[in-house]
Amino acid sequence: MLRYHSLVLIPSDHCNISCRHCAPECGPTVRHPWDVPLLERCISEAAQIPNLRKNIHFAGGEPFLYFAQMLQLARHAHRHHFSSSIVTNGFWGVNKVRAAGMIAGLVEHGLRRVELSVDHFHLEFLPVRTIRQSIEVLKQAGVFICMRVVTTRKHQIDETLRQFTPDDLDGVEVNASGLIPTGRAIREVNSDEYYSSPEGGSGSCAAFLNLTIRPDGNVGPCCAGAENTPSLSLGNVHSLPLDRIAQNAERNLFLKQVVEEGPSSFFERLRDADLGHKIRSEYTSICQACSELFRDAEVVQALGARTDHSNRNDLVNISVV
Amino acid sequence: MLLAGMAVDIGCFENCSDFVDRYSIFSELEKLSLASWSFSTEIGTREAFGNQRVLCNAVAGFRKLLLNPRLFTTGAHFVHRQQTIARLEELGAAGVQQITLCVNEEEAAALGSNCVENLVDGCHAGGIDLRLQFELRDSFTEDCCRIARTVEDRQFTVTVLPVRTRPTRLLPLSDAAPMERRERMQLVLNAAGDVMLRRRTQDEVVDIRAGNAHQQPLHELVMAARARL
Repeated sequence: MLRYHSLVLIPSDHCNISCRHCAPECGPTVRHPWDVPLLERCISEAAQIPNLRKNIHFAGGEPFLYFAQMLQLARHAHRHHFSSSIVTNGFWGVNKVRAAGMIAGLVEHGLRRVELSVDHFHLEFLPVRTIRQSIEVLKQAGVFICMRVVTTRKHQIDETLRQFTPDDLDGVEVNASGLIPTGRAIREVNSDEYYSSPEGGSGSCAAFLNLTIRPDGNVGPCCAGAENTPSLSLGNVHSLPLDRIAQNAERNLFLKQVVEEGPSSFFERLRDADLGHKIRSEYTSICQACSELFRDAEVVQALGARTDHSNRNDLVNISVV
Repeated sequence: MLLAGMAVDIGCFENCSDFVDRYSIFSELEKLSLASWSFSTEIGTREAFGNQRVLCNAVAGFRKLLLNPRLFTTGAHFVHRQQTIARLEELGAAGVQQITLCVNEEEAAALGSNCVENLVDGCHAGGIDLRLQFELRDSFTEDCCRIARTVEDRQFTVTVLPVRTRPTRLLPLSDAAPMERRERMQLVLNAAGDVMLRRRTQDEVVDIRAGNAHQQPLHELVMAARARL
């Protein structure tokens, strides 16, 4: 059975800043209103999914731009015994008093963890002082803080660490990972900055799955690229209940191979189909390999055709493209 | 109070002809009926490495109790590449899932980048998650930054836990004030058998001395401390 760490809600790609490395290409001009009634319905359905850990993770976009809606959903989720977590750029720390009030409201309704996206790319837009104030507010509220840092060969982890004091980051988990070249990063970050290696595309992600709902209602098995990959879509909450989508995913053998054996398990089939040139000699990570390969119409068609001969169930999602 | 975990000095164990659990830690922990899913265990309050046989046996003892011990190290033992890889592969096979390279400013300065590289490669070989913990005073020193960059150059994700150094205050159990019901304490057992309940506050680390495991069984000391606190 697939195991999901969280129900990730991406209700909007609207963000107050437009970082150069942003995979979903969020920014101030990308506007979707949050569909709160739909997401409340999804949360209620998520409560029936046995292989989903009872945590709602608000992502985006910048969720704090829609604080009232986020609070309403957190409250609804808490009634269904969900805890909640948020990934945010921390801009709201600019006003400490107001920030403390917002965080206290969320804590009351199950907020346990905040992931602060802080790195060279975010700090092109936001002052360190604001982030420091966000951290202070979160510490006072007793919320677990994880600082997410995107790194490149040019902008390594210590560049971000040095912006803070040990006192600022005492008790904060700093989690750095290499830039994944998808979305805006492909155009705006030099490729010689990426950490890539011949082994980068190896491995699998079965332990890191999150049931993810995109602003258009599409559901993906993770929030690291697959949610924006039509061939990996599990369905759409506008047409199916979320618990039914999760049930269907259990019969999706293509998805199971992707998450359990990783994208590199398809390499041989692609070479057999004369598509070996689609495979890079180096990848930054399995997320890059997954996003690139399964968004490629030729690759998807080739794998779909092969799958067609072996098992029709595999075509459930492949055929979406 | 909540007993959230335990840190055991590797000196609590020794190898003569057989492995010796000097304070009967494993049988004592069984008597405490701990929930393995919520109780974290750490081996090597500063340094778990030095005697591979003792460490493997200690890991096996915790694994039998369904506990997943995290190993703490200052990195000094990883000078030899092949030996490091072989040792970490063995520990990975024994069930170790996480190693924390924990250094203060002086230890960071003394730690060669080659040792860090060997540790990273050994953890890859053993399938072990590596984390960095920096105990710092006022700023992220160049040596800590060098260590973090060395890890980053060799693996895609790096987890750093910065800790501001705090003074430690030792308190006899009789002087300790009662705790709130949900306050988290860590059980610490040093090589001399001293049993402490550790609490971290914003300004200090408080070690409440519950007794000595030479003189009284561990579970009795913990029960008495629980009743008092």
